[in-house]
Amino acid sequence: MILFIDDDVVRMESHVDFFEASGHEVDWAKSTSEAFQRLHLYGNDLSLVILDIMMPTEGEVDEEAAKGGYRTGVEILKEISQELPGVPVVIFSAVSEDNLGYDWRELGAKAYLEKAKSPADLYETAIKYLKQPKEA
Amino acid sequence: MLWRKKKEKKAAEDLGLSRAFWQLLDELEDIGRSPRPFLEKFAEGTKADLVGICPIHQSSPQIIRSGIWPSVGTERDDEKRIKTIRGRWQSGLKSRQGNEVVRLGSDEKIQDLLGVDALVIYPISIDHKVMGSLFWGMKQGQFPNGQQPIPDHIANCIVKLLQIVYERDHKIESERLERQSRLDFVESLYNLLDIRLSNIYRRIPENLTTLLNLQFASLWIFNELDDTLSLRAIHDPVKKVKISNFQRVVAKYENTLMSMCLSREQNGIVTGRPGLVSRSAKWDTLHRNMNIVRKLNLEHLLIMPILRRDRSLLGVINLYLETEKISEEKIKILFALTTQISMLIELGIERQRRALESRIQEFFPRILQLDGSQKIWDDIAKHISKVVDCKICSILFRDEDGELLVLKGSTGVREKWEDKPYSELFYSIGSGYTGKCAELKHTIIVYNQGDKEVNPLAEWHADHDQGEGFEEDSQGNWLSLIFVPIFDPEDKEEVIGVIRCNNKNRDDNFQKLRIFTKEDHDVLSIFAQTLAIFHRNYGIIEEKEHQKDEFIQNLSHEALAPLNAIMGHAGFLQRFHNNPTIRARFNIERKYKALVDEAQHLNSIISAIPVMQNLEQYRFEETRIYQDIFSSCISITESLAEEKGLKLHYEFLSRPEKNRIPLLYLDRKKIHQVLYNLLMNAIKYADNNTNIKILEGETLTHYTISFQNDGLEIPRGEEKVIFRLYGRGSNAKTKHVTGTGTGLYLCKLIMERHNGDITLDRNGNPTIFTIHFPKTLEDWSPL
Repeated sequence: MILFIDDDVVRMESHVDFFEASGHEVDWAKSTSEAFQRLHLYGNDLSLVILDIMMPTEGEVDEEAAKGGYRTGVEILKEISQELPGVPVVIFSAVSEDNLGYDWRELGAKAYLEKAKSPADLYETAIKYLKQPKEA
Repeated sequence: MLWRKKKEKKAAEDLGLSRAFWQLLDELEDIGRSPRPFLEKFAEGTKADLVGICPIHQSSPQIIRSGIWPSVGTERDDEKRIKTIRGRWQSGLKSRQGNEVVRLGSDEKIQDLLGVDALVIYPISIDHKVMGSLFWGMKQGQFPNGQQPIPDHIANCIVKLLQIVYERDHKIESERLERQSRLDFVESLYNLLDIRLSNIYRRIPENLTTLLNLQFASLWIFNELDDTLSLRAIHDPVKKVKISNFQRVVAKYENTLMSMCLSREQNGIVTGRPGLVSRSAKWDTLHRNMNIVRKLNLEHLLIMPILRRDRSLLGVINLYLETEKISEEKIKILFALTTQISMLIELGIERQRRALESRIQEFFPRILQLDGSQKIWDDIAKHISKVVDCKICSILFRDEDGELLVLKGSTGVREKWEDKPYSELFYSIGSGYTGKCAELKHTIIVYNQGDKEVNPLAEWHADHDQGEGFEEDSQGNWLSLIFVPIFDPEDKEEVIGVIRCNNKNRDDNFQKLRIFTKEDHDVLSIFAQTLAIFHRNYGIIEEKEHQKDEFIQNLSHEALAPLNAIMGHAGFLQRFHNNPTIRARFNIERKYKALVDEAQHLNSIISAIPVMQNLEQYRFEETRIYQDIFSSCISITESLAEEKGLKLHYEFLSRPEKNRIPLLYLDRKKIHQVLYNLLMNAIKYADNNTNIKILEGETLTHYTISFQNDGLEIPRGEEKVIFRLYGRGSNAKTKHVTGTGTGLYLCKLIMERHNGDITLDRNGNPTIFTIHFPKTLEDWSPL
């Protein structure tokens, strides 16, 4: 299961579709509360999370921690690293790497892609980090 | 001959003086130049072993050495002798009337020094003041004739004659001084105008001591900031006391002493009154520490105020004589001179100020052309430190909220001053002491003096923390500090920054520590004013740069969103357009449509940029807001509103005759843009399925139209931001509501050009934007 966490309902559609059309099982959390709900739901079944950084704050992420919404994704990433350390995370954000204010590697993410990349580029990068299902 | 009037001659004959003696007295004519020939003859006539004149003007050397001594000695011996005689005489006089004759019997000292057994001293007085003495001495035994060398009446006569001579000499001397004071002295002082102020200061006591024949003179300048006097120069040809030592030893006592002679008049100006302070009177009562008096061996101290033309106090001249009083004539002359000195100093100060100003003015146009970077502020600090002669100069400005002090430039270590709270930090002297001040409304000068800190500023207020006291800073230095507030150029009450300068010295060099003065304050205030303007101008540049940066950031972010979508759709289509299974599963048509929509949106963002360039051209014409403009806005936005399920409600102005806002002179296109922008905003930021209200209103002077919606709130504190160019509410950015941050800025500009305004009323939800048209637009027509 690949989980997209991004509130941009209109503009991420084709990216999500691309993964789905490529034969992956995909779900899409469109808000932070949805994100936490899905994370709890899938747990270690997640093979990859594609995470946006700037999202409205709500629920478990408060405004102050997320710097007024500018770093909501960072808070979610911290949560994943702690609770689901085996789940790989690829950041897909309009915030440039330099402006993030954190070292995403230290936070536990596998890769960082700035938005305005074609779905194929995102796919190529993300698929490298896909968690292989445990062999029985 | 001056003294040989008939009456006097008669009196002398009555006294029984012989003809021979008259001849002797003829010689007195020359006594003013050298009394020696007279004394020699006199000694012969009286058969005395020792004859001398001891005048009060002990500083006139040629008179000191006068007299017949039993043995030939050096000049130094003569001085010693005269001192002894004077000492005996004075101690003998202590319990008597000033004019009494003192008779002294044998004593060891007299014998040792003068080689006489007996000494008689006759005082010479002018206007009941003792000016000197005439003395006789006998080598062996006592004087004959009942212990007298000559009969009293003869002695009195001689004394009388000496008095006449002295009086005449005195008069000549006074006239000479008077003449010199009017001419040479003033002229020589005015010549000093070509040199530095400090030299002028130095030369004043120097010239005074020479002119008035004094032992010591000092010059103090009054500091209006804190009502204290600071020592600027001393001249001490006899003891050669250095100013630093003097300052250390007596300055603080002096200051107190002199401040006793200052008075504050009703209008607040400080003046001084001449004061004579004698050893017995004030010194003792003032300070238990008699060391100072002993060290300087002061008997009399003259304090003479120097007043400006408006009678306010400029400074003080301070004179000492070791043992005698300063004559009234000298005081009068000195008084007459103070006017000249005052003018001289004022001219010097003015000249220095102008020179400084021109240096400042030369400097600042240069920096104003520069970009205001870190280095420039450091350069300014360096320049200031040179001009005011200080070790470290720092320029600090308050941040936007006014809470923190931000270091702009410094000649010192930067880190120490980085971002300190304005309310907490004003000075720190020594390891254990930090002064606090809530507001810096006046210049503050602080320095260590001996064992305590001195903050001479009277209006230092609030939160003044009494520390443990301090001695020196962590490196063992003494410090002196000055803080000069930088005021807002528009609001002289508003402190926007601080210039801080300090000087330091190793502890053993405390006396060399330069303490800041009023002149430093004057100079720094000029800098402060200029810096305020520079800072403001630079602030505007900075703000524009910031807006530009923000715009580019906004624009790239705004453009990135549709671009991202375009990439997404295009990428998907590129990969899967030939795959029938995928085509069947996903809505391919929708993706094509979205591709076009997003491209259009991108276009609209980019085309918003040049709109602002047309802002300067306005075409005013008679226009109906509703019929001509508003209806078209409604029709454009209607579909969008419907999509979000919004309902538009109108509340019109009820005007019995016309029922609507009347015809106004407006720029139709521009106002169209305003109404469109506001309506679009109201729709864009409204929550789905809510109401948008458009309200007409009227005040005494204006017609108003308000746009009211329920939805995304404008964050507190950002009310001003949204009207700035490229400014957007922070939540609008994160919630991905499209916009370029130009709309409200344009609205504001356009409304201002119509002499109107746009305001935000945000008493919570709903958000209400109101535009105000002045009623004068009804009958206003452009030329």
